[in-house]
Amino acid sequence: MALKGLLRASMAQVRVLNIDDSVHFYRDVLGLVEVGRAGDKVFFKGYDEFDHHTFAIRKADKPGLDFLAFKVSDNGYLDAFEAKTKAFGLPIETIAPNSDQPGYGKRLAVSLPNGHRIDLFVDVEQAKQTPGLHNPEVLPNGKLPVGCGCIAFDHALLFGPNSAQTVKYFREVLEMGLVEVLKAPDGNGDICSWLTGSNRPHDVAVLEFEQPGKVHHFAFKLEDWNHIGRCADFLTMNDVVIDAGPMRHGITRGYTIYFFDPSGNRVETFAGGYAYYPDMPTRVWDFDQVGKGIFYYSRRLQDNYLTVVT
Amino acid sequence: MVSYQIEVSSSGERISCKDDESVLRALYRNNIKGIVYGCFGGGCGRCKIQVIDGTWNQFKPMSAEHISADNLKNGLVLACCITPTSDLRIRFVL
Repeated sequence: MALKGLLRASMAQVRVLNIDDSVHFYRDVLGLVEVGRAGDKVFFKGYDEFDHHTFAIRKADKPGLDFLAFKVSDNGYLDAFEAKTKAFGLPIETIAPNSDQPGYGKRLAVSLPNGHRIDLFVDVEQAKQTPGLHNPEVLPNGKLPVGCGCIAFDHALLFGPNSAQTVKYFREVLEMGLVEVLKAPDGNGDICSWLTGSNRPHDVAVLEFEQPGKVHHFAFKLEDWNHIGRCADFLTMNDVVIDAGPMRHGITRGYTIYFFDPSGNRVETFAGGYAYYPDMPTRVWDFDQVGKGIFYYSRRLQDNYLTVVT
Repeated sequence: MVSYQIEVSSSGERISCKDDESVLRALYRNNIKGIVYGCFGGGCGRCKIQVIDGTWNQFKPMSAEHISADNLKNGLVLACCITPTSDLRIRFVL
């Protein structure tokens, strides 16, 4: 296995205003599998994932992202990331196994310069319901997936200040690849950066924004363009507010729909995109081409895209 | 089902809003000038309005980041989270 170190963005916890509406949305409409509840939280996974859970919702009085978690290949890397994070000067704390996230081992919570928190972990129990492992069928349990049939957690776009320092941390400490960048309007520096630890075209993206700790969207994976179309049908049938799409990104080349959960968090279903390898050079977008970068077909930046966040 | 009239104070435009329809949905459906909207879920705060006259029902939570208890007392609400229970006169805040 060649992929080592930071493996992927593999889990997120999101704040919601109402649990029942949110469970209906994430379980029955998006098709995530509900794996358990504890206190004010509900835990989910995509049908094609092996980890105990990869998405959690928590009832709160304002929506948004609590944290984005990255899976690390082994404890040697986790220890190295901890030492390098401290040397970089970011606050870091240890979260005990099986505390706020059932099934999860020790996690390291890092406070990023953009006001977000990321967690790093190695150990997590295997889910009860996983893709087949012995002569497996292509569908889990031989059944069609529920609703939009989201396969897995995929990535998030984080808004906040100090994005250059945040990107520096992702690159220098966590050794992530810088896949694409969007240059600032004056051409001086980058306003948005797409980073990956895996073969995905992005595990996380970071955009410069005045308010700290804001999330633009988090995304779940679908298999292909056909599934994006069926997802759009299903979202419409369920009266979900669609923000943009179905469409394609120039950046990452992914197929996509943006829509809102019942608490106003923007969610994306994402398919395709190229495979990234660490030897690839960074792709660069000028700011006047941002419309084409995000909305490849209309080539126009939608009014609400950079202002509606939670 | 009952419908109520919503008047936008800045323009005097009047539209009809059903009693099971959010005020924002009615404004959006009628393509009202000056409408600002975002998530339709009570989260982003973009559709903040002030209800100048009339009564409403809050049918879903509004983010505490955008609407405080004092805001509510002053008729400041997110249009996506209320339905009318009488004719309303409103003004856009953002």
